[in-house]
Amino acid sequence: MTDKTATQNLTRAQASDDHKQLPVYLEILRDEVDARMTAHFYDLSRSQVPPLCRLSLGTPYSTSSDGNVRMAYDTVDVDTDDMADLSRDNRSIRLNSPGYYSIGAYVVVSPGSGPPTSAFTVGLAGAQNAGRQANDVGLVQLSISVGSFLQVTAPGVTFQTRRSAFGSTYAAWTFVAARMYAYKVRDL
Amino acid sequence: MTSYSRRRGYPTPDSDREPGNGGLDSETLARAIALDLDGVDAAWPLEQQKPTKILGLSSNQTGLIANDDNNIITFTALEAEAPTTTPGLITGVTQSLVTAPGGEGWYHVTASLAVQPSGGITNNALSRMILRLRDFSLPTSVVVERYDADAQNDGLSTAAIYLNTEAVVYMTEARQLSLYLFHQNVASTMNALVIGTYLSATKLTGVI
Repeated sequence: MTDKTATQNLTRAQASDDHKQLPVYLEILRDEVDARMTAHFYDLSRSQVPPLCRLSLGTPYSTSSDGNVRMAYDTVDVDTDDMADLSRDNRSIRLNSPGYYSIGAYVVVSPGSGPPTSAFTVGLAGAQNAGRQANDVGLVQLSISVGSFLQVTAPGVTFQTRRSAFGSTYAAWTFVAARMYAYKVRDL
Repeated sequence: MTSYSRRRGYPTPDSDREPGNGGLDSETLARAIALDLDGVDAAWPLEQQKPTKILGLSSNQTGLIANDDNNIITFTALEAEAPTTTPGLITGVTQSLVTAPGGEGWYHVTASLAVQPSGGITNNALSRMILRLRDFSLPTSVVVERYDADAQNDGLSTAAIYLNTEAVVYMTEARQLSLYLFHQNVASTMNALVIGTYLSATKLTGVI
């Protein structure tokens, strides 16, 4: 909705109106109100499908231990606002409409063999920095989710899932599953 | 579409032509309509009207937690439910799952759990919360998605462990969310006190 108030620019009665003009005024006002409310309901209906995108990692893959790497995704589960193009950039969700967004990521990693002294972090990178850490306790999968809010004032903002491992070095990490999402909560 | 102004019960031009309504003041009426519409604006953050369901805990729960992933969390408080057309949580009745409160579509779901070990823990015990999304329209109620949260206990203290996760998932009438607690690297069972837990679902869109 673009108007600051729903009554903006509605016809107002004039001081010079006489009593006989009241029905005419009411009819005009009624039509204007109905038109305004119809548009408003249209906005409500349209808002049922906000910009929404979710990416997934469908095929697990292994990689050497490293730091501050941005996750790659291979599947677009839903995209209502041209927010993902894996052929161009398989690491980012692009926020094309200004507004406030809820964004988040979820990663499951299997540390493979090695001493249980490492930590693993998952965060949101790009326009946002937020993260969460889990400590490995040895040969079990670690699951980490992270979420945040983001204000987008100009189209084209992107964010990614950043993950890093530190502590002891493992031969390889296996990313078992990962998902990343963003949806618009409301207008600015 | 029914006229908004008619549904609101405002006078119509026809009724205004009836004798006896000479006291109707157009400015007063305009202000009344403006107040109503401004009320619509005030309610504009539409996410507040989205179908939502939040389950919680009315009191701490204690018990033995087995060393497996089938310790389902039961909720005893209905924190919020809109719309209320679906069967809700009745006082005194526990519930262990959340169904799609607004029908099929995409939902933002969250879960949190605070658990306090009271015995049976060993070094490097791992507590895992598991949020499962099952589809009961499939033959074996397949878990279509799961979201885990892990936390490590040092095995020396009985401090509370906090777990939480959130996700965007696709729900149908046949899909249900449930929450489990799993302890690994512990004795066969562990005494635990669940001191807080929430499970929520908020609808984002209908069928796209």
